[in-house]
Amino acid sequence: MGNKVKEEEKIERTIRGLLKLAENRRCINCNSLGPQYVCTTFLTFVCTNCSGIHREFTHRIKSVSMAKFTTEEVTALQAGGNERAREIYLKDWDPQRHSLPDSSNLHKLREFIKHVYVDRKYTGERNVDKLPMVKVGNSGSRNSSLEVACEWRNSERSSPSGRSGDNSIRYYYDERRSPRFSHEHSRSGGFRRNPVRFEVVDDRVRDDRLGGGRRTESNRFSNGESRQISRLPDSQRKVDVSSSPEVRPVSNILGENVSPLHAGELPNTNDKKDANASAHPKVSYMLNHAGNLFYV
Amino acid sequence: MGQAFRKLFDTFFGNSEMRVVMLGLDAAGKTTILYKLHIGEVLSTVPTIGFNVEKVQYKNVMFTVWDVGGQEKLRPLWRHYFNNTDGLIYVVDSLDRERIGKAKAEFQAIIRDPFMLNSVILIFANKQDMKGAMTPMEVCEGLGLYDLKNRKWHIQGTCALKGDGLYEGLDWLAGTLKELRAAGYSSVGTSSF
Repeated sequence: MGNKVKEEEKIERTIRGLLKLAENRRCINCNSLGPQYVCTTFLTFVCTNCSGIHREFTHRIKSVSMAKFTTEEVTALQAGGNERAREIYLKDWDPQRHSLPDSSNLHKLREFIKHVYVDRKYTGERNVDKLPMVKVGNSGSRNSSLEVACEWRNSERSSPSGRSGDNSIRYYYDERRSPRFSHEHSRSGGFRRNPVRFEVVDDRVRDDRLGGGRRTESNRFSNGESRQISRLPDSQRKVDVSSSPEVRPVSNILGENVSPLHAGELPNTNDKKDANASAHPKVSYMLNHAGNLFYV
Repeated sequence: MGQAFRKLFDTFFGNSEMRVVMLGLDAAGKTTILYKLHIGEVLSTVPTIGFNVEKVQYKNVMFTVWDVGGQEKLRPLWRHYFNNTDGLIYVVDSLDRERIGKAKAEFQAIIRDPFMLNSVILIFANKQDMKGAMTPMEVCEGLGLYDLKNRKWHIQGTCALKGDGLYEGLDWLAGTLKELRAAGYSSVGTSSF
């Protein structure tokens, strides 16, 4: 029992250690400071908003504070991380031409995550046109961890990679992925490699000018209790920014049961709305928190 | 006197209230379901830390639905929501075959809690739109529902994004609740003004 607790503590310490690395100090997708989630599908550190969107694509995410990690996951994470993922999924990403999406723009974030991890637009592989073939049998973007593995193998064969450093990365990833393939899944482990194979070869260590000043803040976020509290003001800020006061009354009204819901009617209206249904970020926050504030 | 009459009247014709707690592993779709029921829209959600609670009126029943975060370290907090609960909605990610065992363990722990012995059980086998999703039957087996004795339970395949199955589930909840209350179960959740 005590042993187990100790093990868990050790794991959490390790992950918090990884979070302190320069490369992991910011969300890989939107560059916001102090990511608190791990995307275990791509072994990246992401912010809360990005974690929500990864989830939409059925990528697995875990909260650093609220989830439990296995030793295998931690080992994989030590070998992974944002820099490594960037070398793969953002290999062709040109910061001069493109810019990372802002964390408050959920629509842009969604687009970005789809392009980078689902369509794999920036992996630098030439066989993008082959992707549809690989995807046969998979509906849409879900099931992506398998997809990634297939596509990876596929691209491995056909990629005309020149640099030797590249090769080791590829090899590494291929091997890391394959146990997932034969084994049950990513999170059940099977990864036994020594993670030290990778040195960080990157000179793009970025944004640390800001890091020093705000680090205390991000540390505060990292412990469970204070985080719950800190969510509220944050959300209120969003409410102010999005400034659509007309939404708030809706939830209040519904809370007072004015409009009963009918099974017969709703599906129709829902279907119509479905196409743009996923793009209602503002409403989400407002209602969530209106609800919270209202009832808590 | 008037109050008693009102209560009686409500039992047979009018509004009743039902307190429902919605649980399930993380990323099962609980929050999406809650807001789909509450406002009829699919919202962009983030992992719930803490809970969301909304009222949903359906067929003369006012459901108060508590949606509680499902990540590992939040699960020990679930039991604090059990008291005075009429119904459990247990949401399962039908695509997640890997964690169905985990889902079963958590589910069995919930329904065996002394505070939950009288609650009716609705299972949402969510994400039925996905290819490769377990059927409601498979989820049923995965959770060990067939071995349940002396419990009112119902499993419903759902797709929270489209709203499929959600109201059918509430239908069952409302019907079962009425049945039980008519049979004289102490209904903790009825309104008494």
